[in-house]
Amino acid sequence: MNFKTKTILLLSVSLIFFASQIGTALAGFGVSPSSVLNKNLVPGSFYEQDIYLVQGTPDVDLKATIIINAGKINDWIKIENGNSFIIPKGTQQFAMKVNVNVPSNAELGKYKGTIIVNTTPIGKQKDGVSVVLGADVGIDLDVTSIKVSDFSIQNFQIQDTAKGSPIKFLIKVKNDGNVDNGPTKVALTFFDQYHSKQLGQQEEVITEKVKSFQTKTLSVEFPNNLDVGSYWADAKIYNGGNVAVDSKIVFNIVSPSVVKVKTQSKFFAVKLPNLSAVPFWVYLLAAAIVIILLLVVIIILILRNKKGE
Amino acid sequence: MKDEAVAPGIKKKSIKNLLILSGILVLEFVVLINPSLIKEYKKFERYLPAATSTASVTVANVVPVASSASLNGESAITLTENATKSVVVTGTITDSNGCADLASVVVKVYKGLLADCTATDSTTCYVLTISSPSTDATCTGASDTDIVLSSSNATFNLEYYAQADSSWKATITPYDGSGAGTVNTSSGTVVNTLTALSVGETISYGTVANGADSTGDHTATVKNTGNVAIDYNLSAAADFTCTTLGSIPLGNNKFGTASFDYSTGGTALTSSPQLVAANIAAKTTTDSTAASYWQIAVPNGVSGTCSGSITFAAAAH
Repeated sequence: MNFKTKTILLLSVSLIFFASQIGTALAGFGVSPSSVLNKNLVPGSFYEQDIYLVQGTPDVDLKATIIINAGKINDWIKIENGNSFIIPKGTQQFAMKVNVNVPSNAELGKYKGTIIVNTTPIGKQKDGVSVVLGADVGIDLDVTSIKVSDFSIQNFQIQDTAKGSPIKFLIKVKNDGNVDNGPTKVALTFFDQYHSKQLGQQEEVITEKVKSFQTKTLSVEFPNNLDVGSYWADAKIYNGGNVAVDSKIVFNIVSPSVVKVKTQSKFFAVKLPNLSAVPFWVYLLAAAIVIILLLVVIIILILRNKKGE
Repeated sequence: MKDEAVAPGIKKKSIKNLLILSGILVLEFVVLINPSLIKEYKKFERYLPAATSTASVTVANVVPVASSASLNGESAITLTENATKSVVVTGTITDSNGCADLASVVVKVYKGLLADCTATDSTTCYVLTISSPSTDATCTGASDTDIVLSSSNATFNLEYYAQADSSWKATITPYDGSGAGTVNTSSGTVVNTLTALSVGETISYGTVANGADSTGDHTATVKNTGNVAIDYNLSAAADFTCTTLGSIPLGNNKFGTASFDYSTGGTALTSSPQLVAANIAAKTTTDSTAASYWQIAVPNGVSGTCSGSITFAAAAH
């Protein structure tokens, strides 16, 4: 057998096979938000942001491998979960915590880069050419020397309060600035449940501040001399001399012994009668009527006994 | 005998009197502690003058008022690729005539202007109507003046292509028999950008002889499953290994955005990501996709079934 014949024979038996799966299932993967973004960093800042790794159909465990590609700021960026971790099966949104530590001697300027997230399904190896998925997270950071005061009030509420207990006004504050900040004062004007009769007005100064790039719920307490019932409060939240929020909210004063449950779950959606809202004279009248009726009954029974004798 | 004849009559009369008195007692208690009557009393009292001498009053209609509207607790909303994400609107609707007086409550979750949100379009506007508030689980009877919005009655399923923006709001509009009441709007919530894709799980080259190139079109369809336009990066971590003998260098894979012959076109795959500027728009009404074309060259000296993987990584355009 000459060389030419050997070659032809080898070629004729060595056909390479790849997977031939038509209409294979789709796999999906993504990141949200798409970038680590902060334009207000200052030298020495610490900034933390969650990037969610998302899958519509998380039917297997997924190994995620992280590569930070950000040039000279590579050392600023750390993934709290580590550079390799498992996203458990069934998890549609997995929080990857990105920490940015800006050195105190950092140069001012704009910094860009990419966090590359690659994934590999565990225990789902296919023959042939498999497609594995990943996504890029942009890095877009500005280091500045300008002090930025920028906070927003995300929501506020008054929780149901027991009669006699302080009224707690809760404010969720998001500080996007690079200095500690927050609202300075809250003014509440109380009204009856029909918002027709003003019952009083109170102000409280807020001294607590929210750290830069953090979100926190502040609690402001007001003295409570309201009876049990439903009330309106016109709330004004101040940022210095400016009114940041002006809104109306409903709240309830409840009896200390009564827990009013009217929550998200319909299974617990019960409302107890508010007996303490009844004026005191109604109780007195009722008691008097009951006593008179009891006396009448006793007299009748005595008369009956006398007749029997 | 006379005494004996009278005694039963007195006894019967006494029992009758006792029954009547007991009935009166029961009625007294019912009247005094029934909370609905207390509520009516309170409403009645509101309309009484300070010193009244008339017994005739008219209970006026009070417009319902929405308050404390909040979308997802005002926390940023992260969507899920190629799926829906549940978000909850919370708030309170108060009708001083009783929650049963409410005709309906319309809750809208929208980006931009309320006036532009008239019907659900999945990208910028979602509308939910509570058409029978009196049967809502949080409307607990005639004495109850409010209903509370929560996950049980105000959950919205946002599609993965709902547009990213910081101006998403929830507006609650209550209606009674007289029309719309006082609306309330949340302060504003971010819907985060979502960079995502989905691709078929394999690429099929079929059967290729040693020393030959694949022929025909071998495609992988890339679908945008996020809410921003995307490009994608392609790479492979390792050469393709074959079951019987040898391996195929990863660079023997070539890709393109249109049909090509291996010998004359395509871009060789590398271990470092290469960006394909496909600019696949986010979905609006129909799926948004782009085809990726593939060819491979099989060298001599390999045999068996060859396996490997190619990474498709989404990148915001």
